[in-house]
Amino acid sequence: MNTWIPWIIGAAVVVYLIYLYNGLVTLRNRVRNAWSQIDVQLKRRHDLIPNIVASVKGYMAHERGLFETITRAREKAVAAGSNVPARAAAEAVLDRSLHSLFALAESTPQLQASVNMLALQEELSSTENRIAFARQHYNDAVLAYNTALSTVPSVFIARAFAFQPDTLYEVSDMREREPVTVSF
Amino acid sequence: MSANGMALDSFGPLDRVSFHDEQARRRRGTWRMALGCLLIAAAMGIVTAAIAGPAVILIAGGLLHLAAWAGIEPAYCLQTATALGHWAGSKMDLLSGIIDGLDDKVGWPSYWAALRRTPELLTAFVPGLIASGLLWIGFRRLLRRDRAEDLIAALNARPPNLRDPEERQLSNIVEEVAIAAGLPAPRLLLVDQTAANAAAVGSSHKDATLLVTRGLLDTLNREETLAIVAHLVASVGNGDFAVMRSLLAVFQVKGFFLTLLDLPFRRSAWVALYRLIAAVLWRRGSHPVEAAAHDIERAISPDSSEEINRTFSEGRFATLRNVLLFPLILLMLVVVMQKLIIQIWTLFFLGWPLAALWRTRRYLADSTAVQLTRNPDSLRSALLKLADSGAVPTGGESRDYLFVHAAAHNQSGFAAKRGIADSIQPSLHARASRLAAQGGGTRRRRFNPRHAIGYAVLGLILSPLIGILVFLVGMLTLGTIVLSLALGLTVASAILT
Repeated sequence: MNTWIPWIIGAAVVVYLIYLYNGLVTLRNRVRNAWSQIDVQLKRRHDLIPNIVASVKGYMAHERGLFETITRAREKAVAAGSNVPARAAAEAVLDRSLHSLFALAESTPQLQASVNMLALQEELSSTENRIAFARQHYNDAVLAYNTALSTVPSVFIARAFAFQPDTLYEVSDMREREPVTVSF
Repeated sequence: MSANGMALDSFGPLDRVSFHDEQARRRRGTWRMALGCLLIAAAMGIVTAAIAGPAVILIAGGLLHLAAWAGIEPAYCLQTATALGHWAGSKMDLLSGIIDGLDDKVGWPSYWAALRRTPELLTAFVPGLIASGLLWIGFRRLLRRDRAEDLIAALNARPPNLRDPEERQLSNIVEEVAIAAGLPAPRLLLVDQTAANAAAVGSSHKDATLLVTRGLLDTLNREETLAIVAHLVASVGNGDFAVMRSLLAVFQVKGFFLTLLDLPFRRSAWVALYRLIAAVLWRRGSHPVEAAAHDIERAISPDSSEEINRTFSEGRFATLRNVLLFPLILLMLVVVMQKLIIQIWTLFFLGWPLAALWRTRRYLADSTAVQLTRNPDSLRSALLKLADSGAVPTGGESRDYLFVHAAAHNQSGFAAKRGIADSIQPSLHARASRLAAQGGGTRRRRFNPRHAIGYAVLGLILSPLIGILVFLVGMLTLGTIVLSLALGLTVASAILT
């Protein structure tokens, strides 16, 4: 009878360790999945941009500089791939130039009159929301994962199996949050 | 403190709560209320087990006899069946011994001796409790197939028209919120009614459906619609469907045993049993499960007792039926008492934790919605607008608890099970003030000493009445248990030995 007790305790400990390890793997996969969601939504925006540029260009021919900024930012973002900080910076530039474009579009009466524009605006603001939510979901997942990596008891498993913390998706520079100023 | 002429405490609520803390609080509340429900359901389970236990033994014995007749180890099967009968007989002897011991004419030592033997009797409930537990798991699984298609049909819900700007926007919103929650986007259906309301139906996050009325789109702006959709998706993601199934399965188990006992007295019990077996074995899809669950649950409703009454008093051959069913008169008494007990317990005791559990889940979904949108203000203003112009859409009354705005005093469907307890849904104003605590707006709920004194006085006046009520219900329950057990064990031991 007594010889069984250490075995039972040992088995319980092993089961608990497996449980902790699986928990960490689940959290890490959630982070990866969340990242791929951001990727999907950013691609959606990239696909939408040529559309937007084409439909407003006719009304706003004098804003060639802004269109070029948008196109270049888009190319840069596509090139950054899945390098989180570089991608975040490139997408931030794209973000700001699109906002400037829409601020301009709102002050162009011919554009406001067109129903097509309203639909386009809805698509763009929905895309913005999707990106923001995907980013929020990614950051929540990273937070949960990183917290698990650095708290007892899972910190021991994380050290033993060399789990690496992930980076939050954030706008790195305060200045980048300001909209691009457009000169007339 | 008032640097520019404005007191600082006018910004935001003083007792600000983060949505993480609110969620943790509501999750703890869920466990507490679930424990309360479990305890009361177990107490009710003992009443059911008093008749279900002997019934299980009888069915097991019958199956053993069948096996023996078919030639599978006949000697062993018959021996086991007889042993089961003897076991039931021994429990019956124990029960009658205890009742004799409690007889008025004998004194205290005899009472004491009888009471000390009571724990031995508890094993008589074990078969019924085990069967109840297994059936509960089974019904929970079966109810997974219930996708509320009756509700969708009754509401005439339709897919969104993506050419309509409002509906296009709504379908965008649903996809946005699904991304925020990290869930697959639920199916979206629109209801062409002016009442502003929305609901989530389904069995899990994999096959959830959102029902949104046109009235909601006309009443709320984009941010508010987003908040309401976030509440529904949060409810789906938190697993409220599973919570709901667990609650409904309790009623299904009780209904199932009473349907079996109703078989001699009620023709619709045969229909219910047939529908249940068909839904389990060969009829696929949601609709057969909905119909079977509805029929099974009827066994615990007052109309089934009325139907039993009619069996004896109305229709052709009523006298013949009376004569044929006369030997079963004791069984009928037990069945009617069991139904009465279940109704009384649901009315007075089970309703409270049940309604509280569902309300806690609503608050939990609210704070999860805040986590998804990071915008407590828009959910708060959406709820306040729904409080003004919301209503349960026509056709949704039977499942009104699924809607964001449920009528306060609806007595059908799940709401009927809450008995005299508080509403199954928290009031939208109470929810709005919880959201205010999470940062939306500046209102906060304050403790009002006048209300506390009022409740205390009311409690003092009512406590003797409540005491009498509890005593009466307790005696009735005890009587039902003893009568059910005595009848069941006698019949089981008589047939099997």
